[in-house]
Amino acid sequence: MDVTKAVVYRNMRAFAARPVANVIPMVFPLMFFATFAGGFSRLSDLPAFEQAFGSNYVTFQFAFVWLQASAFQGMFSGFGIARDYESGFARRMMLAAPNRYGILSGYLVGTLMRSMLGAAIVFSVGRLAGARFAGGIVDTVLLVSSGFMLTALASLWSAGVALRFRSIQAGPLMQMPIFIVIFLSPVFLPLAAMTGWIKQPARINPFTVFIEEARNFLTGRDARGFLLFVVAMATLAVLSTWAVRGLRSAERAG
Amino acid sequence: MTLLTQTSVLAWRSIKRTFQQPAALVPSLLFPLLFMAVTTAGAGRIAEVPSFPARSYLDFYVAGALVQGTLFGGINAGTALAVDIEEGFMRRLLLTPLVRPAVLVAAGAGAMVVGAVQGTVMLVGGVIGGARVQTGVAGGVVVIGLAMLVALAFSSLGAFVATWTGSSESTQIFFPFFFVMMIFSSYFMPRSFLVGWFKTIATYNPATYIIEAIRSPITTGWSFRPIAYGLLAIAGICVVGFGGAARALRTRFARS
Repeated sequence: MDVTKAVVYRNMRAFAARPVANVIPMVFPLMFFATFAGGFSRLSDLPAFEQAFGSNYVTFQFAFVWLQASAFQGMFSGFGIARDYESGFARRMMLAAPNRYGILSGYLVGTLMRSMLGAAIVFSVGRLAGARFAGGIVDTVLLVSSGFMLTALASLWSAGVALRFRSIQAGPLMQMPIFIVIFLSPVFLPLAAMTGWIKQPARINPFTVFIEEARNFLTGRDARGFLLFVVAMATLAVLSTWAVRGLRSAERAG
Repeated sequence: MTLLTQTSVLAWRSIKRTFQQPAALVPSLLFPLLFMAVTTAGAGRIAEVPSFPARSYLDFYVAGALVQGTLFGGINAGTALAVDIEEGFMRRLLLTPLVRPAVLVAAGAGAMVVGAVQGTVMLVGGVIGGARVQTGVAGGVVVIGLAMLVALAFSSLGAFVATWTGSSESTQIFFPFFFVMMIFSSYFMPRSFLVGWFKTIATYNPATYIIEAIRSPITTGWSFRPIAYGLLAIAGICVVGFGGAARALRTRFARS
């Protein structure tokens, strides 16, 4: 617990020193928001879209942008770990920490705390752009929580990569799988309206559950909260194992 | 040594260096292809909307993928120039009886060769995926020629940033700005489908005319006007880019 607190404190000090640096993970998602909501809005003319979703295209894309921004926030925590290794700080921390799992949980908690600023920015921009939050308080809380869950999952993935490679040059390996998982999902159309080869990977992609349920939370439709919970917990178990094994790899390397 | 000889020697060095670093070249080929595959598959039904101006969304999108690839190449060319400045190679080069414009001309020439490779890969990738070039093989050759010119334009911007900052890291930081310039255009959608402020930005964005010039032989057939506008936009960017780079180079090495 002390180790976790110490790592969180260090994270938050870095955040307070440069709060603008935490806006950087928001830039690409917000750019995609402007482009997709502005550029692809004619997709809402399709009858299949109206049947499957029924609200405006800005609201439809907001779910994707919120989750993408959440995932990017988590991904950037892996960059932080890699930079700490390159500077030598991480090795000193591993020597000093009585419980090294506290280091991992400290990075995770610190990332979640920092991501609240990102959440405030994304939701404010979404509201200004015309996204409608038709669900109740509970739906909105679940929408925000699903984003934070995704931040944690992306953080565990990128932490596992960073701990194994211990170099910022592993950055593309942290980014590309997250990017691929995000885009092999119902980004532009609801799953029911998708056609072609992409529909199969989208159906089995766990991120699809996140994005479809996020859209249900936004529109107040019947959400399958239990399914989302099960998928989230299963993914959490897998990625936690991945991250812990990465920690052990880093320990062995010395 | 004439300007042509000096340029060819430096251009060959630039081309060799690019192909000796697959880690720099491969992302500029793979990423646009990947993005093209998932975007056209996910949003392909846009072609069902009445008045969509192409046979399929893939036909429409190929031009954007091509420009995206050359953007990566332009930034890589700028980064290589910045590395030459950082490592002192540029300073030593300018001590020789080198005609100074050869440095920038060579960077552009090298980028054009890489642009030809990228253009070919994107076009062939699109055709394998099911795209059809309305103007046939001749149109494909024109598209690749335009890709080379676009690579020249983006390399001029990369050169401007590189000579102005003298830092490879700073040059790479500019990539998001160029990426934004590229996507706030008719990259994803035809201008007739855009609305509001997005349409306004796209209308004044030179990237729109570049993408439409490349798209025209693929989706529409032979049409002089979009190609003419695209060439004008490319020329404008080259004037700004190379003009700025030449001035920055003069200033940088006048101080030393």
